[in-house]
Order: sequence, then C-alpha cells, then structure tokens
Amino acid sequence: MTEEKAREAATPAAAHDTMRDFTAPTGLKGLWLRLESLVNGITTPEYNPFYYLGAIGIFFLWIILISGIYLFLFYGISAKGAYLSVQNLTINQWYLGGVMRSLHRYASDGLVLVMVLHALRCYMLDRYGHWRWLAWVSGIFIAWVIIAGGIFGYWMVWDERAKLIATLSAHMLENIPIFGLPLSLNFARVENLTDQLFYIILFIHFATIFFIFILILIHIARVTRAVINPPRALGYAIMIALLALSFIKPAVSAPPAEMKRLVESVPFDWFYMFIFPLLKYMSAHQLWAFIAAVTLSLAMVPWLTRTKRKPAVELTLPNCTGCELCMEDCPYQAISMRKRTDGLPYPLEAVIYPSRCASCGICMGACDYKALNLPDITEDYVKAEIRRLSAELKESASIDKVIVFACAKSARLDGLVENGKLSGYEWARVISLPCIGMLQPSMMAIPFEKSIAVDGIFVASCRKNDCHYRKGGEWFTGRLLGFRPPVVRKSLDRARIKTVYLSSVEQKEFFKELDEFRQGLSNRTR
Amino acid sequence: MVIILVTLFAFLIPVAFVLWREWKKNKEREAREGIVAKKKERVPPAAVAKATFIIILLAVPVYLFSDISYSHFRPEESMLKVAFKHTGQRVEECDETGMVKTEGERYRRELKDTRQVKMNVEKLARCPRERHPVTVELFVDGTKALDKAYSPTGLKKDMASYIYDEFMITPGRHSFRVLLYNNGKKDSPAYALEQSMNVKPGEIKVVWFNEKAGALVLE
Repeated sequence: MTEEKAREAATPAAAHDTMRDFTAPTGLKGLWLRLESLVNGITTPEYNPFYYLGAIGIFFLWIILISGIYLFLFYGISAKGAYLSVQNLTINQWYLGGVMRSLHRYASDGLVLVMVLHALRCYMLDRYGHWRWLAWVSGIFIAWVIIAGGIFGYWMVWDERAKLIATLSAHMLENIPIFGLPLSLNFARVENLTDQLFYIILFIHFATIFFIFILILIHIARVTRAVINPPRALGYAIMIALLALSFIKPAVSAPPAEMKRLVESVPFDWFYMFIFPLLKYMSAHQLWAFIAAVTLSLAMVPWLTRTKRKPAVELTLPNCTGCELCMEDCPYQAISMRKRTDGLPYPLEAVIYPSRCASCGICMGACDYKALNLPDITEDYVKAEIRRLSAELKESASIDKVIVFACAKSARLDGLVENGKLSGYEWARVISLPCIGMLQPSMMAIPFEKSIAVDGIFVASCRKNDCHYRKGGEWFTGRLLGFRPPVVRKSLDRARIKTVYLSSVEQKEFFKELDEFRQGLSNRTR
Repeated sequence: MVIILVTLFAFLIPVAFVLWREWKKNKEREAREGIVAKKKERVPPAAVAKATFIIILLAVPVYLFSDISYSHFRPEESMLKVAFKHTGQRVEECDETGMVKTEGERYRRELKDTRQVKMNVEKLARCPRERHPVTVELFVDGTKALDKAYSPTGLKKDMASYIYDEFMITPGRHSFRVLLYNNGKKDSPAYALEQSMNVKPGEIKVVWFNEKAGALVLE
C-alpha cells in the first residue's frame, strides 16, 4: 500500500463528504419532487415537462418569433391603423391571422409561466448557487426583458387595454430621471398620438426577442450541451395545447382606445401586467424602488443563501494524457485543454477553472489515469471503500451480496446507512457518491474481482433527465452501455448490474427495486 | 419598413456568430472523428397524448389569468389633464439675428480686403439662449390644485418646457382657472383661462395650449 493509500485508509469516512451536505427533501421541496414523480408516472421521465422547463421556454420563444413575424406583415404602423389592422387580422383572417395572434399571446403567457416554474424549481432544488450564479442572475434579467417586451407588445394593439397600460407604463418611465420628456403627453389628446410612436414601440418590441436570445446565450454560457429543445413529443404536445387554447378562447382586442374617456374595466393579462395594479398603492418612484429591490434581492439569492463550497477538483498533471474526455464530460465547462506545458509526449493537457467547478466528480469518472481527484473524495478513497465493504460482505453469511452505488441526490437513505451498512439489508453495502457520473468503469470492476466476488452491483442514480449535476446519470449510462468512453468492461456481466433512476423522495421504490434485483440474482444462482 | 428590418437583423449578428462557431466546431469534429449518423427521434403517439394531458393541465393558469377584468379607475371618477408644450421667454434678451447680420457684414467687408477672413462663430454662440421655466397654476372651484414650474428642456435649457400633470376630479360642474407664467415672475400671467364646465363620469378633460390661437384651451 502506498503512502497515499495508507493515509486515505486512515482518514475517517465522515471526513469524506460524499453526501455533499444535501438535505432531505422536506416541505415544498418534497412536495415538488412528489409532483414530479406523479408526472413521471404519466409521461415517463423522458417527456416530463418539468425536466425541460428551460427548453420549453425557448420553444415558446420560437413560436413567438414566427407568429410575431406573421403578425408584423399585416400590422398597420400608425395610430389609426394599429387597431384596425389587428382587428382585421383577428376577424377576417381568423383561420390563420387570428390563430397566429392567439399563438403569439398564449406562447407569451406560457413563457412567463414556465419561466417562473423554472426559477422556482432551480431555487427549490438548490440549483442556483456557486458555479450556477451566472445562469441565475442572467435568468432574472431575461425575466424582466420578457415582461417589458410583452408590455410593449400589448401597446401595439392600441385598444382600451393598451391605452391603460401605455398611460401607466409611460407614467412609470417618465419618472426615471433619464427620461426628460413626459411620455404621457403623447396620450393626452388624439392629436398628440403620432405614428412615430408606433414605429418606436414596434422597434422596441421586435428588438426584445433578439435581446432575449442574446441573454439566453449568456444564460447557458457555462453549461455544456445545454438542452435548448424539448423532445419532439413535448413539442407536439405544446403545439396541440396552444392550438386548443387558440380555438377555445381566441385572443381578441378590447374596444378601441378612446382618448377622451378613462379606461373602464378591461381584460388584463396578469402574466405581464401584474405590476400596474401596484400603482394604485404606491407612486411610480416607490414602484421603481420596489422593482429594483426585488430584482436585487433575487439576484443576490446565490450569495445570500451561500453555503460552504466543496473543494474543486485537482489535476495531477503528470498523469494527464490530454485525452479530452474530462473536458467533454464536465457539465459546467470547468475544464479546457491547452498545449502541453510539462514536456510529456502528449499534445494537450487539462486546465481546471475552480470557480466553475461543481465538485461533482464527473470528470473523475471520465478519467482512467488518476489525473483528476476531488480533494475530499479521492479515487483511492472510493476504491478503498469498495474493497472494504466488499470484503465485509464476503465475510458475511449472506447468500447474495450486493454493492450499492448510490448517488447523493437519488433516493434518500437518511438514518438507514451507517458506515456503509444498510439497515435491515445485511447482504448489501452502500457507497455514496456526490454524483453517479463519478463512478469509474474501473471502480465497477472491483466488486467482481475473483478475490472479492460480489454477486451484483446496484446503481441508484438521479432521475433520468434530471441529474443534479446535469449529465452524471446520462454519462454513466453511456459508459455502461458502451458508447461513451471510458466504457465499462464488456466482460462484466450486465445481468448482474442494475441501474435505477430515482429522485430523492423515492425511497420506497429504491427498496422495491433492490429487493427485486436480489430476487433476480437468487434465481440466477439457483 | 426596410430600415426597421435591417436594424432588427443587426441584433442577429451575435447570434449568427455563435451559431457559425458551433457549426465550425461540429465540422471540425466530423473531420476528426467522421460523420456520426444522427438517430432519428421516434415520437410515440401515446407519449404525445400523455404529454398533451400534462401540458393542458399546465395551460389552465394561462386560460384563467390571461384576461381577467381589471379596473384601475373607479366608475365615479373623472380626470383633468394639463398637457402641453410651451416655450418660456429668454432669460436674457439677445438679438441673435442682429448679431448674425453684423457679423455677416464684417465678414463681407473684410473678405474684400484680406481674402483670408473667418466667421467668428464663437461670438455668435456667446448669445445666451436660456429660457425661463413655465409656471402653471390651476384652480379647481377656487382651490389651488397645481402650482408648478416646468424647466425648459435642452442641454442649455433653451428649448420648450413640457407640461404634464393629471388630477382625479369628481364628476359634476366645476370651475377651472389656469394661469401660465413664462417670464420667471408671477406678477401677471402671460396666458389665463377661466371656464366652467360639466364633467361626466369617466370623462377626461384636457387643458392644452393652442399655438395658432395663442391661448389656453380646456376641452
């Protein structure tokens, strides 16, 4: 045993935080995960919309862009023509123009809905801090740009609703010191309303979507292989739902704007216009201060709720062969390659960006050469644990012996595992990992070594398409099935390896699957 | 419209750049590793049906909250707006036309003699252009509702003042008195309006300045 291994073996297990301080899902978080489990039961995780909220948002943006371009072709850019052109499109061309308008409206509302759900989900599932701060902060700006774009979109119809929000938002805008002129003057009399104003509004509205796309590029800048398209089945489902809404409740205008009268009761789109009622209770300055405070507080959430960060992965350069697998697998672009600096005969070497590192260990799972190690959970430690627990099993009287590799974000086994022993399951030993993507093919080979001869390996991963570290489960499956290097040895009997994909609230399912696996192993032995 | 479209497409440049970079990266990968045939995604109708069910459930809030009626104003309210643009008098009188004329004459005279003369633009720019703020006083039924000075716009404060204020009023007959001062003093108003008017519920009345008639108007 080398000095390093000896040190590892001597380190108490508690010092190796394989559970990554993840707390058990209680309260709202637990409810949310149960709801997702329920939806999984209907759609399967492959098509669960909750796992694609960001991608669905982008899908909505495409619908908004395409339907918006169609509406633009018929839009009369003038004070008099705006309302008439939209009405003409809605009534005389209801079968296409009207549907396009409804799609534009409902996709926009849907966008706000999924945006809120996306943010809420990221917050509840602790996916906003540390290395994710850029996505979180940019997401908040995206939200405001979307809302502003939507509000300007409603101006364009120039009906009574448009008049109300135009006057209220003009009132808000002119209270920003940079606006020297009172915008409200434009809406005081019909004669003041110019066509140029409609050109400007159209420009702002159109520009918003491109601005949003640019912000989305920033939003996903530190994410490898960001999911920007939902599965086709979900795409079809969304289109069906939007078309159904468009026919059941077509988007229509309020009565035309009448400048000499106060706006009476108008249909209000609360997804975009929720700000305006606040003007009843506070001044425009106070409302701006409120908006700024809310935005700042939300943007600061990753820092306000900051927990101690786990140490970033470390590179042992002499072991690095520059194979690029770690770079390919890192879900947060925390690894890049550069020209070799140490004179070894490999063209490239890995470079770690600690600020982007999630300490998930996925790169360790991709590295066959011991070049990457998490300081608190080293490869040697994990392997030593596998050997120790396998040896314990070997010495036990159990007939079927199972090693369980459990992702810390998979089914919670709180209080049931002590020093690797699973309470009530003498024939199983559990090795927790921060992410199942950390599981190296060479680690999987250890329990099947002749000297150890465990009967089976049970792997509990996060839910499919919902890995806490984005890609761990997917990369592990790829390695196991042999299409993603480094692959799990072909000689390992796949019938003795079982992978289950569970969320942290699915403890029952975990034990059910584990029992079934053991049963299967027993049948094979007989 | 062409200008609008061209300007809008300028926003696409960074997006196009990123897409081009991705495309180039993919091409390089294909050249290195060979073209990998993409698996065609199969779309099971049952999955579409189930997903549609969930999406329709999610669409319920969209159905409910996309057009709930909202009244910002009470039906028994009316509004009076004071909304117009007006140019205050200059703080310091300066005969800019006369200065231009004098300078032009000097230029012509010296041009004959020297042929190397320059217009003294600085001298012209020295003419102060700052204007007084426009002050508006409004009395509704004898009660002062507004007394505010509106600063002239422009970096040198040499442009018009934009006046905008709004007041909720109760419907019924009201007497309105509007006084406009544009010379920085409030001794005598430059324009005045006194009018009595019946205001209906939900109606908006506007006080504005008719440039042609040179008078304040309430309509």
